[in-house]
Amino acid sequence: MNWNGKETALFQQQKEYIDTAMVPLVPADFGAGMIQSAEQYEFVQLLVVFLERQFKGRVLTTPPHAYLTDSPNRLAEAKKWSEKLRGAGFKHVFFFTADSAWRDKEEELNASVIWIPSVPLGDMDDSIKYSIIENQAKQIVNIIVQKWQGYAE
Amino acid sequence: MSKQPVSRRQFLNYTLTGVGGFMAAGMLMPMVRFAVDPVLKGEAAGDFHPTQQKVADLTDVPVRVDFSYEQTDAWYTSEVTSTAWVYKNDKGEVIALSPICKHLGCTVSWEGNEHKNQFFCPCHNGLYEKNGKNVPGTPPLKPLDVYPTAEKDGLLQLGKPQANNIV
Repeated sequence: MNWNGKETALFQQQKEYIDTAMVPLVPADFGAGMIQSAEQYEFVQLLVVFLERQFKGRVLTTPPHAYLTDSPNRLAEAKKWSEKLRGAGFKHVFFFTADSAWRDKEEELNASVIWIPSVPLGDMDDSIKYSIIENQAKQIVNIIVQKWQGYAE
Repeated sequence: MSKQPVSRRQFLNYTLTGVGGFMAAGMLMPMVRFAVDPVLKGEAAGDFHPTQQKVADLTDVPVRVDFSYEQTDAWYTSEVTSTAWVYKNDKGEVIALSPICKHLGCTVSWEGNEHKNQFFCPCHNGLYEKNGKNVPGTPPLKPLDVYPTAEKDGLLQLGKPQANNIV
């Protein structure tokens, strides 16, 4: 489900089936790292849209959680998101990020962190762009399905 | 010089009528064009989208066909990629099924997760027969939608998905 009025209403009705939250975790840098931060956002966002299409009936895409790159309490903030989502009944919480700082934070966040090195998509042709995203996404599809099956056992 | 074929009065009459006529036509033409516009537009070729799949290459095993087309969403035009599962049935007719699960809209895959000869939905283990019929006892309550199909230059074209009518 996407984060819009219609689909969140459907989510409220079908809560027992939708047990997974996908949170794009993106840095906001308004200084020297602006381009890189924007590229990461673009990449992560495209990836999450693709995954949402595959798993529409079981996942809810949340609004992206953006943090300032030099913010000291960004870990605590992301942790709050994970706690709130678990409190709302999500059994699985996935953070999607291209920022390697989050790679080893799974335990602290009590959520799965899917780290994908971002590819600068800049001037690429649309079809090449999609095939890159699709290749990345296919591997992540497997990770998500495995997490689901792990829970069922 | 004594015999004037066109008098001054006549000349002025002709010119005024001519110029007036042009002005009236200039105003009326766009109006008429507006009025008949819906008729001229005609059918937008039934809204079929082309794919890269050759019809001759299709077999009785469903294959994934991706196709993309432009879609306008409010002021935002985007390229949308859609997918269909396409095969030929016993009679040799082309069947194109929508991969959108009728439960909550995940994407189903052919023989996914070792389910022989069925479509499988990874979200809540929904199952469909090859013709799109939902397997009772699994979450989906309706069969998969069907795309109207067409053929142009040997390539498959797909329309807008409709409720399944082949089950």
